[in-house]
Amino acid sequence: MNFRNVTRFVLLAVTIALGNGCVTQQEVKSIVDASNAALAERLVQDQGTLLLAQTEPVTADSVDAGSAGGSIDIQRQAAAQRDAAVARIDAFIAANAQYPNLARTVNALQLRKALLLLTGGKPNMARAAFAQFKVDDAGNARDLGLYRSHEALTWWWSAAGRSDWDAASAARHLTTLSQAITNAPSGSGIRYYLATLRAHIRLKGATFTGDWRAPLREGLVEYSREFDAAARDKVRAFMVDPARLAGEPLDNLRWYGQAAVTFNAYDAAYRRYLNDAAEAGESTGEDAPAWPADTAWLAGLPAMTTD
Amino acid sequence: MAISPDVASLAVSVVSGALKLSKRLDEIQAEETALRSAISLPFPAVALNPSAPKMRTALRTVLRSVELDATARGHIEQAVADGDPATLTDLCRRYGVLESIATPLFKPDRAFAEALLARSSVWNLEDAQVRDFTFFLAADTDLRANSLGFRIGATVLDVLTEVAAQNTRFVINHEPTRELVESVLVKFAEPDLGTMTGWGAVLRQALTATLQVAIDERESLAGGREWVERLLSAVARAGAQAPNADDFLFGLFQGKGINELLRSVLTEGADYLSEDDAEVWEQILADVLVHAAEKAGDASDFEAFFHDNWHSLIGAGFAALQRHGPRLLDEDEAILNASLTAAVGALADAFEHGPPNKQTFIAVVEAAINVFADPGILAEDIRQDWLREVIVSVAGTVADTGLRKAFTQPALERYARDTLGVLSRYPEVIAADNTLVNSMLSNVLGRMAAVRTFGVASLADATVAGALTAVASNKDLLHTKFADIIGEVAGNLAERVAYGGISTVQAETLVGLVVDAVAANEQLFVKLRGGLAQAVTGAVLDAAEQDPKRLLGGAALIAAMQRVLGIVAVRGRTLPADAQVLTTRLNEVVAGALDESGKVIGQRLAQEDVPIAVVALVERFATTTNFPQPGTPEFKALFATLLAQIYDVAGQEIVA
Repeated sequence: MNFRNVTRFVLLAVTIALGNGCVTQQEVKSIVDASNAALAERLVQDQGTLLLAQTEPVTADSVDAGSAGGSIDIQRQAAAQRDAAVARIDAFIAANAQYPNLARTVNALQLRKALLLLTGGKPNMARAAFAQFKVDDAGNARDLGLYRSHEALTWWWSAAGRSDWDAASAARHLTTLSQAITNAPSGSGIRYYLATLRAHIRLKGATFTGDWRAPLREGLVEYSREFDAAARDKVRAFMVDPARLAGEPLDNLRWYGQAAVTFNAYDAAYRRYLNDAAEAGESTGEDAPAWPADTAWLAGLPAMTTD
Repeated sequence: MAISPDVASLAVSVVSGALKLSKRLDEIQAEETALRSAISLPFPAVALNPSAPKMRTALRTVLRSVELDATARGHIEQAVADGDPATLTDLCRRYGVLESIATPLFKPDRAFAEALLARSSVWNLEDAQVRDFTFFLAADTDLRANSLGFRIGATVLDVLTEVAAQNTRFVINHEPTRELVESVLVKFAEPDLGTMTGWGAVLRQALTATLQVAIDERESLAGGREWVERLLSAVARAGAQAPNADDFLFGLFQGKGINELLRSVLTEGADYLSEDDAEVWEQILADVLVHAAEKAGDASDFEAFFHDNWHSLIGAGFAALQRHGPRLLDEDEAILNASLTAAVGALADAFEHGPPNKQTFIAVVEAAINVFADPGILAEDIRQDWLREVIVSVAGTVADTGLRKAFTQPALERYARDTLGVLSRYPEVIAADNTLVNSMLSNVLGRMAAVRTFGVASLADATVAGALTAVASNKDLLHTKFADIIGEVAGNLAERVAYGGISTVQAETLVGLVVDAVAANEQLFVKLRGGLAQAVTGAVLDAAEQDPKRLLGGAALIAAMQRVLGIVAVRGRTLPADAQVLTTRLNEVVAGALDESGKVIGQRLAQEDVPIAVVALVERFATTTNFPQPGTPEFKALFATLLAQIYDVAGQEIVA
């Protein structure tokens, strides 16, 4: 049994042993579930097809627009879920912040609240919530990594969907993000998450340059270095022979898949640039992306999706 | 790396404290939930800018298709010539072409979801667990200094609740149980308990199995705990050497019957065994389990089988220890170790020909250990290969598909046990010639399987017992075809039992006669005329069965067979060399004798003297070169002459 699920049994244990309920733990579990539901890009069943319901950048406009059906409705529901989850966390913190034994619990929920606000399109409130987080009470590498990179995260969640680009801000946040990545445990989920996020930032940044090719190559090389030989083998398997991963632990599946997805985005961007240049009558001297040797393990893989 | 005793102690203290102070436990669990739960954290969608060449192309189109004043036109022409991306973007937006050339949004999570859907044969996105792992961010490294103790404590409490819902407080305050729990934690808890598979699962299984027994048998716990600890230590040591430690241990604790093994070790260990033997016992168990781990890597079928049945194998060793004591634990001899290790190897070997039946196999192992336990065999130079061959031979033969169809399972199991029981009485014979067992079994059992009847197991026992007794007293029979010869005769007798030609009791007696005759005259029956025993018994029995008056039955048949075998033993060299010819001729003689006897029975020949008449004719046949053809006047005359010799004129018997 995973410790994520141990709570159910422990609840039972104490209930039986002492005839006494675990009010605090039940409440925290409920809050965690609610916040995850609100945070998740939920997969919904839509006429037999699984779709990601919420992948557009969330803005106040998109939530308020209230178009008939579709993702806007779902976004509206998600916003309501987020607000409710944030309210519950606030209530819990208000009721328990004075108890020393619950300091770590409060701290962890504070971080959840910040993420809810961040992904809900409320960067200022998110920043304020992050500021309440206490590094000394950080309980795990994930929370610490998210906190250390919270400025970059806050900026990126606003910048990712915009059509303009502040190169100076991007450079500053990339530096912060890289430090957080370096401090995260090698091969951990938080390190993969932040490294993937950094690759996305570099991808967007590349498209705001005159010639995309060099920054794309640099971004992919940097991202590629996060994967050791074993992880590279798994990424290749994910793309070429996924059956080979059947039965393996799912822990890092997301990162193997995201590596493939991210490379595809880079490759598609590179090809788009070459194609655009050719249509414009501008010579690049390349017929296909010239990926560096460092990324050969990615570049040798077949395209996975089309844009 | 396993946890330290300090962490184990802390974990148990957490449990104990938690049971006393519900509030503190609630807080601990709340913290666990808050810190160890995954966070669903997506990636934002990314808007990418159009490329500069694309924007230049678009602006050139604007220049061609839109009426512009000179300033605006010059501005655009300048940007197209050397404008930076920001300028180009501004102009494209100003002249309304930016959206038409926009690069599609990059949506990382959607792209990943689509990739997973395309691989839905491997991962099912409708499975909540898959979704959790693919869109959530795990907690990763725990940064709390003493968190492991709390987490392990939570697991202990969890297991306690499952196995002792009404007695949790008592159990954890019961000193022997508490010590046992700490011991299990030290042996099986690892720092990476948080993984869904791996050590968390192992610890749960180990705790569940151990606590169930400890709670049920807590009155015995003080005395037998060391033996349980030794068993668990052996398992842990084996796990440390297994290539895939957590999976191997999980399999062992998941196997059926582990509770029974623990229970018997706990409740009976202290009664039967000295604490001085505990160290050797632990080492032996560890060796066996390590050996099994190596073997399991070779065959997945065997691995599953072993995980389900290892407790039976170890249980067989423990039961043997109870019966035979520390002799089996002699460090120099390492008899038990050799036995169990060979048994594991034999089991793995047997899987090459299909899995053997579990009960049969265990019965064989138990009996084989008993063989070793015999003081006589301990003096012999016993090799592991020998035991292995015996076990494979018996288990393989008994587990043969044909045999399974022919015998009921209890009968097979009993037969295997009885056979090895017989073998255990003659260890020196088995040690000298292990092929004897195989040929005996394959002949006797194989033929009996074809018969498909009940009641032949006792015939098989009688055959094996008789043959081994004979070999024990006549070593010249070793490395000969003795077993084949006896097996053939026994098989033939079994067939006759099956169709009612003779009774089981008759068959058992007859096979004893044949064994005695062959053993006493091995030069003739074994070395010179291998088919002689079967030819003689077959001829006599056929004739007896074909006789319509059934004159040669019951004790008469036994008496006649005994005398005929004796005659053949003395005169065998002069009888026809060809077994088929001999069978035909001898059958004709006995049939002729019975035919003639039938004509005078009750008048000139008493019923009980029929065997005498038959034997007299057979003796004459064996000693006369011109023996008359049965049915002819010469034969009738000879019969009359012999009859007159049997009885004198006054009716006195002259032939005893």
